[in-house]
Amino acid sequence: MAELVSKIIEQEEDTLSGRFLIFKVGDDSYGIELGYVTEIVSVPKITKVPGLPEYLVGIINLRGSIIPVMDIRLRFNMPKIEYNDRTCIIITQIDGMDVGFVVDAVCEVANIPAESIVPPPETSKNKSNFIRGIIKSGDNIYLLIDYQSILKIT
Amino acid sequence: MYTVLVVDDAAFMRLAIKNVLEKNEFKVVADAKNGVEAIQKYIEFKPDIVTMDITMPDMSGIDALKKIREYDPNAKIVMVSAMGQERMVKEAILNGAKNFIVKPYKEEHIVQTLRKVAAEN
Amino acid sequence: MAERKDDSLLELFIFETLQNAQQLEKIILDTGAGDRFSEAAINEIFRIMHTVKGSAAMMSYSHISSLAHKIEDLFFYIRETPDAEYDIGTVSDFVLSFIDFINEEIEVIKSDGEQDAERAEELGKDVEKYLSMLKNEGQAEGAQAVKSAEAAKGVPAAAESAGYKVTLFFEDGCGMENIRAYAALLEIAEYAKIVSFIPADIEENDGSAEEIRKNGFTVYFESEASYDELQTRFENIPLVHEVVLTKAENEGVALDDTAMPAAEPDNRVKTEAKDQAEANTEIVAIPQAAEKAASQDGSQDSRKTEAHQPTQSIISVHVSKLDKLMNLVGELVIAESMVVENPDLKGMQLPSFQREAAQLHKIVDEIQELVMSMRLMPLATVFQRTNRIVRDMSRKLGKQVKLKITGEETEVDKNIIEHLSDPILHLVRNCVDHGIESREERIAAGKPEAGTISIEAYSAGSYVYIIVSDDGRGLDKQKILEKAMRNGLLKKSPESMTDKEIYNLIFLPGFSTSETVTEFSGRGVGMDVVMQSIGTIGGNVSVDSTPGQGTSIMMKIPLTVAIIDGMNVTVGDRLFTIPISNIRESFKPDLKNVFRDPDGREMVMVRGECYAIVRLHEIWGIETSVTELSDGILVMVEQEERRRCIFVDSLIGQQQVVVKSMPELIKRSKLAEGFAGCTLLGDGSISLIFDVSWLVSFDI
Repeated sequence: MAELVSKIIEQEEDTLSGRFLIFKVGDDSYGIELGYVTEIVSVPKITKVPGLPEYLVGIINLRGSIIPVMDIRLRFNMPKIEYNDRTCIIITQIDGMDVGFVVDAVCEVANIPAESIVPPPETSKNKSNFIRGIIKSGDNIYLLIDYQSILKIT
Repeated sequence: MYTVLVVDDAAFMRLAIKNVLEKNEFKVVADAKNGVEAIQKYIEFKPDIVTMDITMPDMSGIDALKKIREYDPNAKIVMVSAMGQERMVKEAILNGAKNFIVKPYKEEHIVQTLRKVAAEN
Repeated sequence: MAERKDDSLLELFIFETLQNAQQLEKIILDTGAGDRFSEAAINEIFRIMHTVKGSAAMMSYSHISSLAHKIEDLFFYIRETPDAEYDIGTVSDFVLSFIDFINEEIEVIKSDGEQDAERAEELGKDVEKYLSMLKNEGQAEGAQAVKSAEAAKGVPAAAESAGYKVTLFFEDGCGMENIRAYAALLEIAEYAKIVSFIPADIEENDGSAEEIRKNGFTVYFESEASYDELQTRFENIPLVHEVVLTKAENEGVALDDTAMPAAEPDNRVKTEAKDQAEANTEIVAIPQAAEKAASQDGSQDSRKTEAHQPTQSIISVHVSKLDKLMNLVGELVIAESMVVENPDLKGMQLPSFQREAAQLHKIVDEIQELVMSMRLMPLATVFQRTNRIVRDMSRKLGKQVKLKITGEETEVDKNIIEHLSDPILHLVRNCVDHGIESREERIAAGKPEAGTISIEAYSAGSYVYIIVSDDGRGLDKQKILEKAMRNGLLKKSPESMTDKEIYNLIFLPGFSTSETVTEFSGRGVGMDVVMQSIGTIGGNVSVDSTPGQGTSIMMKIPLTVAIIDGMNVTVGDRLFTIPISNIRESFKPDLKNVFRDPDGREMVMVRGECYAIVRLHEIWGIETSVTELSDGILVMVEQEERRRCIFVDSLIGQQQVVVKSMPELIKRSKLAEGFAGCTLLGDGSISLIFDVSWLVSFDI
């Protein structure tokens, strides 16, 4: 699945506005702007870096580039699970900075018109800071990741 | 009691083989440290059987094998080889060696092999 | 068989098979022009197919083995039938498809995936069809050996003889069981007619010895001798431990095809084994004949040109051995200084010792330099792959393209080579796809019909330059500007940009100048990836072009990146690197010298001075079994006159490491203090490099 999605990403970098990569963590599905995503990889060896918050699980070697990896589950204060075959790391880049996100599974690429995005409700305290909107697409509900805030490491 | 010619460029090996054989029904009547000597000693002592190391200076075991077989088509020669010398052992067999032993050898192996080869008609 | 042996056997299989595939490719591409294969090429291809067949069968990859067998048959026919009317393009394509299949299957095997037996079967059927078509068109007498083999198969047993099956087990540990089996076979051939034997590849595949140890050596034969006679004869074979002899009642002397797919080669050996008594020199099974013929052909000594550099002798060395050697050399350097600068010798006048120590140092230095140079590899390994791409693509696109390579002997560190291959291959693809025009366009433009792509490499100063250029249509400035504008990538006004600046826009992420996605190039995503790859090794890329005349892309790679001498250490399962320049000494502490100061901090006394001990595993919560000071090592580090002793599990060894800075995100967070950067070790794992100034000053 990850490869298929990667292929889509490769081919479609021109018309990225309104396209989101949908992934699953726990029971919820989330979306992140496809424009930030450079590739999707399965979980390689993660080297821990002492001194970092727990959700920054470490760094990985991606074809010679060292990329820091954040576990979304831990970032959202969800219980950590064992990584399995479906677990992926979504490699993103913004302002020349690379970050990888560990997610339970990558689902698909969805086209979402800007009008369908509504602001997030005040419910779950853990995630709300990192969600910038909610989308309803057919029967699906996706939580849109606020890229900027999720990367504010304190 | 069979007579044996032991050919190996290492004195240690010659002694080792001699010790094993003489504990059994063999008598080492001569030894040689290269192919040239091997031929000479074969002609001189006419042993029942020969153990021949494959890699030796001055003349390889295979060349000596060929020459001895030229001289005596019934010569019984058993090659002694190291692991990894499969091609050479095969060539030796094609050139008339009766059988072979692989180093490091087990005593029973070398005795059994020489015994069976010597006993053949 | 122990798990370990399985792994290393598989590794060797993968390594050798890939090498063989590479060699095959070189032969096919070298043959290129002309409409016949040279004798040497045929023999070499045959030999390689035979080898791959055998080892694949050994590893139970029967789909690979059977496909190799079919191509082997095809080449056997071609070799034995001098006037066979084969089409070199078609046959080359079969081999190339085989190579592609092998390369992909090996990847599948490496990742434990599902193998593509169907594809192998399909390709095999195509090969078989082609071969039978050739045979029908050729003379009936053509493949004599094949005929006689088939005839031999079909010869009815002589009146009194019966069919038998014997399985021989040799004594444990006698060694070279496959050659023993071979010798036994020759013996058996003297009193029996051999039909087939398993394993079949005893002659050329030493791996079959293992199979014989497990399952014995089985021979199907016919003989007039009695059961008892045969039993006795078998028992008299030296070092035969067990004989299982069965007379074939109804099963007949059926060839047991299920175990090994090599029916015909069996018979080849058999017919020749029988002639043993006469001409010894003729008793070489066909594969060997191939080798002999190849080496007798003076012009193309295919055996010697394995590295395909006629005047050099090259051996293959497993990368792990090289890495180990490097580490050992690193340790040697440290050990040498530990001896020569040993505190015990302080103050003593030892002129003779000093002289010898200097000599030792000189030798160790030379070894270190030599080992470092082993890491250098010629760019040829990357450049040669472009041949294949150019050939395939130009054929598919109907263009004529020549490839000119210069400077492929330029050497570069092996780690850098890995980062160069994708970019270079991609650039070449681009040239063929977008750069070189169609034949008609070129002729209309007054250019030679065939386009030329040149790849050039040279080193100058502390850089290596690699230039990929073509004499095609060049870049279209207008299109580039338009696209850049559309994607919001234009930061300056077009008028103020030089041509070169405009051309270099193509490297920006999110750019593309091709209107359609072609099978080969994707949509321009490649260019910024090229940029990235070169960036990770500290180099840069630039492009220049002349409309109508061509485009040239230049990569500049620094030979020296930030490299430091580091000491790799372990704490638990983590790897860290300490810059050698900060290390004063390392030692196993004597617990008598360890105590706690009034504030409760652990200290160690060294030659009258006290130093704080830094227990890394405690500060960072690393799990390790080494918690007693006597079980690990203390490394005394220093920065600006301040010293502390760092407690680690073990010293792995000294190594020159390329310093990579910590990822931006981590640097910004200002959280991972204590680390100056990280480095990639030979096996791809990451080691964190200590920031010693933090180590000696943070609050314990």
